[in-house]
Amino acid sequence: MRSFFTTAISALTVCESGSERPGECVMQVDHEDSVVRSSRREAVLVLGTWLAATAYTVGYCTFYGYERTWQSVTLLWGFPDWVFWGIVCPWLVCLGWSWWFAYRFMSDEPLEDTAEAIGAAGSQGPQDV
Amino acid sequence: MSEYAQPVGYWTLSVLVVFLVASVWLATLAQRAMRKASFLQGYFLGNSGLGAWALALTATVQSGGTFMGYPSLIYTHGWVVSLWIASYMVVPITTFGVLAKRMAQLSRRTGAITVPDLFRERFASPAAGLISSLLIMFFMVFMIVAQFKAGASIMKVVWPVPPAGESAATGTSLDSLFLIGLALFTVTVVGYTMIGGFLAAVWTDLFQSVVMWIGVLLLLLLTLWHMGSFDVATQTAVQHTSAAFATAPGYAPDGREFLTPGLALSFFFVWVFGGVGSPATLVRLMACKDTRTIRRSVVLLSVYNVTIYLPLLLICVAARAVMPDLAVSDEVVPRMALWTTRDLWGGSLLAGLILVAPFGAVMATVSSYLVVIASGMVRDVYQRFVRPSATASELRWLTYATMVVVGVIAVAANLRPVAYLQAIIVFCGSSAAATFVVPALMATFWRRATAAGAVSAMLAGAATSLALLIAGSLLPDPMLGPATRFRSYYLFGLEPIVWGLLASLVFGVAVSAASRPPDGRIVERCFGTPPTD
Repeated sequence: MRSFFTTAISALTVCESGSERPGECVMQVDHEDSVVRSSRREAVLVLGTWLAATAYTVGYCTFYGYERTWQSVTLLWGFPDWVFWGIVCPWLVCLGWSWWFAYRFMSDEPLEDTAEAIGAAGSQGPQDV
Repeated sequence: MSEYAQPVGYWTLSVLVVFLVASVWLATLAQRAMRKASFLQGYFLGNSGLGAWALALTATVQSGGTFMGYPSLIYTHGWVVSLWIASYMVVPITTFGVLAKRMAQLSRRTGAITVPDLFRERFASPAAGLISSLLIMFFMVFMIVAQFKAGASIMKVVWPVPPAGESAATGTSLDSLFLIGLALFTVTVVGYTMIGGFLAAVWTDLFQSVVMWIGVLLLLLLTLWHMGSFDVATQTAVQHTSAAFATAPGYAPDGREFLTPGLALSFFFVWVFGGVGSPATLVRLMACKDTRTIRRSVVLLSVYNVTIYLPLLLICVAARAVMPDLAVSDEVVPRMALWTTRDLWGGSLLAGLILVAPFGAVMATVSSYLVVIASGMVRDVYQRFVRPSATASELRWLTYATMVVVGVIAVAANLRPVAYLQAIIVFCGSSAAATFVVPALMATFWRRATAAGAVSAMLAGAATSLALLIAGSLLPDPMLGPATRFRSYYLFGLEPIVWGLLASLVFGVAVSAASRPPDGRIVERCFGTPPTD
């Protein structure tokens, strides 16, 4: 079982340095561009945000929005209570969270590289006209 | 005559005509701007210079669904549609926070102009490029046909003819009005997109987004003015329908459950991954100017979404209160605009401004999809496989021809107008997401991803979505979701996108792991730190 997982992880990630097939050896982690690393970090946080929003909104609305009588519904600024607390409020929280993500967490990095150094000449495609 | 089948003034139509003329003018400006670089780079990618406002307000491509399909559902089923749309609270952060930086970087590193281009270069696989291009065109054509119907329907609403009972006396039937609207819409949108390409689509989309935003807020204020309070709107709507209008799973006279908890969960996949994986969105991410633009776009789109989608809820609930027996629910926003402005001085003009909102959304969607389809045909099929040495002039004429042909197909398909606009939009958006999200994530974040894995992920996602659609069309109505014959099978009560993404992920990872590792030079090019000279 342990060797199965070891093999699976190896298959999914980089190969060992000094591979017998150097032309097919995938690059090592420490050569990765900073944009790749920061993007991965940001994507993980975004995924967590999505999961949290999903869990709260769907959970809250499932508990408080279904099987209600009209007499039990309270209106808050025109919204039924379960809509107000389950959707409107988290939406406003996400607005603030998005601002924080954009201006406090997400990093600025150059997107342009020296194209020649990265092997743009390796492109075998038709000429751009 | 129903009190809300208002006769439309010529001012309303005039505003729409002015809007069309302004869009064409923007397209001519775009044509001049794109001349700086090569034809393909300028026409299909806008020279990678999209700023924050253009990126934020056009990336998620609000469509006819936003201003016709979504309002129609609110009008029909009530407050539960707020849960159906709720995932838009995280759409800005997911759209820009996951793929934007890497798509923009990879586009520059590989010289890719289109999404298939990027897959082709990233995986060094012409097959990956061709398959993705064909799938994009397939989904986009479905979407575009539905949008043409929406555009023509709006034109029909604003045409200044007598009310229904008198149409025979004038010799003008409403079907003829639909066809006239269809012709006008087609000529204008195809025309300005041909003139200005990607930038025309983006700039007119931006212009229309701003007009839409103003239109919705105006309509909100007018609705509040007429109703007095939105509490009254909900109370009156409930009187016309039942308590189900204010609770979940929503109101439906035939007893169907519009939104079960399983479907509510599913739509947190549909809108989020539908945004992330949309080809029209991906190409805009590729075209953004810099990371500062991406960060500003997150905030701009967040503000925009909350001020569009929540007001539309209030407006359409109020519409149910004041127009309880609307025959065609797709027309709720245009009808509400006409009703709220009927007694105002200059009301016809104001109604025109509000009506521009849904019309603009449809135009924006059509022009974006036209560019994506044309780029696929010209760059990813013709230039790559038929004539790599094609001249700029040849490519330009092929681009124009493709757009005209797509326009003709859309018109022909709408001679018998499609029904279920929103159902088609959800299907196409979900299927595109199931097809492209996983390969895009693999391309941008996973060094070990292979061409075989990416192609398998695309095909698995697309096949799963289509299989569930076919199953849903053949099986009896489960009385879940919207009432439409164009429906998918809800496996375990979930939308097909959930299963499509899962299948795409499983196949993408398994086939990548089982296939030969990618060439280290390709990986270095796409993931490596550029050497310092």
